[in-house]
Amino acid sequence: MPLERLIDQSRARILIERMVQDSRLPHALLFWGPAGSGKSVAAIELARWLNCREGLAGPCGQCNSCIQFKSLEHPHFSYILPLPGKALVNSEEGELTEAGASELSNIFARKAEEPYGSAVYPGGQYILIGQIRALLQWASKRSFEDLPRVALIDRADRLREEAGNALLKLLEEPPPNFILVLTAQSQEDILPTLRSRCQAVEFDRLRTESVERFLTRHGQQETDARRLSRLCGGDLSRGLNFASQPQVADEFHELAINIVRHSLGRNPIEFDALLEQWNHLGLADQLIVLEITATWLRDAAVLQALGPQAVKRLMHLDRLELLEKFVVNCPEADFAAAVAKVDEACQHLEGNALAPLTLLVLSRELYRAVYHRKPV
Amino acid sequence: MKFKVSQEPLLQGVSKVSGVVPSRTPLTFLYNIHAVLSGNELKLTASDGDVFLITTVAVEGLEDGSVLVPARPLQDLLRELPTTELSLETSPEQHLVVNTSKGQFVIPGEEPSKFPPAPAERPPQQLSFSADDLKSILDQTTFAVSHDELRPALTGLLMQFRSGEMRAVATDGHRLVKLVKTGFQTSVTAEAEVEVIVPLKTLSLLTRHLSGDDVAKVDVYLASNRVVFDTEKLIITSKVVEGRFPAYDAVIPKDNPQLLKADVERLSSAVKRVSIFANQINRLVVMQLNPGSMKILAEDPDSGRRGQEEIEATFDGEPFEIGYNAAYLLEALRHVPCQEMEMMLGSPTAAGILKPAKPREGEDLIMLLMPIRLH
Repeated sequence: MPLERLIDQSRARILIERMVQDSRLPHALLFWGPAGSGKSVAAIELARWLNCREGLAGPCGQCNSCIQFKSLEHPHFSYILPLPGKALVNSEEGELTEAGASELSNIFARKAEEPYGSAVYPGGQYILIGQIRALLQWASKRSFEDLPRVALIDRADRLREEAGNALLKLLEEPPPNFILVLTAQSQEDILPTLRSRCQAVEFDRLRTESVERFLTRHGQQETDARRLSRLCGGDLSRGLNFASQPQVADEFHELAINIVRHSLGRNPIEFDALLEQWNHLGLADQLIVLEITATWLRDAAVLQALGPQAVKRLMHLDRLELLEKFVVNCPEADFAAAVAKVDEACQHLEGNALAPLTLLVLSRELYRAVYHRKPV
Repeated sequence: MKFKVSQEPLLQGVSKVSGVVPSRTPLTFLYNIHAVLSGNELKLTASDGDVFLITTVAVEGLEDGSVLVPARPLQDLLRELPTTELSLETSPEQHLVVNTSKGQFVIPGEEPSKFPPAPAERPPQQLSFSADDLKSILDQTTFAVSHDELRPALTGLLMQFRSGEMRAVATDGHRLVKLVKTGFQTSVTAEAEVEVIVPLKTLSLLTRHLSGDDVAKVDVYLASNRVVFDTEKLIITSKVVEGRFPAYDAVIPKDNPQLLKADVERLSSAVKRVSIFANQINRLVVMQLNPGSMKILAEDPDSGRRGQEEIEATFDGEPFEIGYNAAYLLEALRHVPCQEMEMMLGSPTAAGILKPAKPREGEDLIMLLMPIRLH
């Protein structure tokens, strides 16, 4: 079956399959949708399918090409993700350092093992011009075989402007038999000049039941799988991370709820403890905690609007009692505004704002959204 | 797989192919050499994904088979071993076991199917050159190949077979070199036209091999998607660059009536001295041409430095000035294969054509240099 490792995503699946079967696959695709929904999985599966020597109806899994794709080490596939400058000998050129090559090789091996696992280079913030120059060199060589080469640029919203401009050349004058797949959470995150040259394919958030089923198949107890699938909010990469470190998932969950609790409680000692815990986290983890905070507030909004009949829709069902108490105690709260403030805080963090200051500002804004007055 | 071989020929074979093994890549299979034993012939293949180097070593074969083994530890071991008889075999876990009279060395290998196969078929279009001729072609042309990834078609040497002659053309937009070679053996009919753009890295590997090993003849096979150089000791199979090479004939001036003749060595020395005083950004040196003499001038208005030198030259046109980037001019002069050079000039803004006064037999070489506009 084509794209066999992709979960759900019937709309995207049908669109991609039809483009391939009708020989209408464009040279540039933009897979966009929520994190952990399978965009990079679809790109890898597409490349595997297109390069299978037998697979008109889907990759055979037996030929040399399919075997090479099992380790993601295929001469017709290039995987680009944000790197820190230190991974390259020179950020202007694409040559990797020894540590960079070794770390990337480990990331690809993990991704090959579990396609829904996250492929993140530690400290990798941006896709650098050197990486795109290396991609241009790779694309400029004619393939030995008449099979398409596929380049996946994961998190293309992280393309530095100069890198994006260099990529433009490839989009404007693509070599024959070459397909570029960009992934991003939102179309708007991509440079307009690149976006306008790509065929967009939308990916939906994974259903909680699908994530739960996946985690159960991967060895989680049913109750744990249910709890983690709700906590990860349809982001299967995060679900897998949580499944491999359940204590971290619990810690993040508690911290996310405490951000709301201590923002409203205004107890300086408790808030100091919270701040200390917050400061120990890296940027990626802080963003995860805030996203969980946002889902907590979203649950509160749903419960406030729909009452007990909405219980089945809630993500934090395991903390239902606490959630109900929270909603009852804050009858005037504007939870939608509170969610917006959390999203804003995420943007500030991504824009390199100071983490402790961001949390302090967020706590004041949450208080204001819930109580409609300034905190004392 | 099991065979016996002396240390020296095996080290030579491994060293020949390991030159292409990348030192840092996330594609770990490329760190390996693919060794295949068939009868008494051990075929070694290494690649960087774009270029495959293949060589064979004569061995005493005991059991056919293949293995994928990391190039670096194998080469390091062979370098450190004395000239002695070795016995090599693979274990069921895909390890390569190297036995000497006094030691045993085990190198963990990998499943051979992980290594991508090099295209097996030879393209039918064959040209044969003596090693010296091909080296001369590469020496005189590859320096002008562009390094700009945004113009991929210029990042290789155009090898074009047309009207029974082979043209090698390189350009980076500032200069262009065209060498037309005749008098070689070929299986291609004179009417046929074949052309490929060969990547610079492939040519560097070939040049290194032609310089370092005792090679007499090179067979070149051209196809639309690959080029093969077979020297009998090493086969280089390379991808070619995508894209269309610019219509270079259109930029070569047809009418440059003024002829300058000068001694290459004297002109180079003078340009080197004067260019010390040139602007460090555009490296501009001006050639002031008069019948019977030529003056080279440079000036850096920022620092107030200036220099000039007069050298003997013959010039048959009206007096005029033309400016060039000293680095490009020197590089072109360095690749003139004889004592005297000729330069055909039109106007101060038109490209100048530089040629050897006595080209090598069977070669027609021209180098085109774009001038820098003065004032």
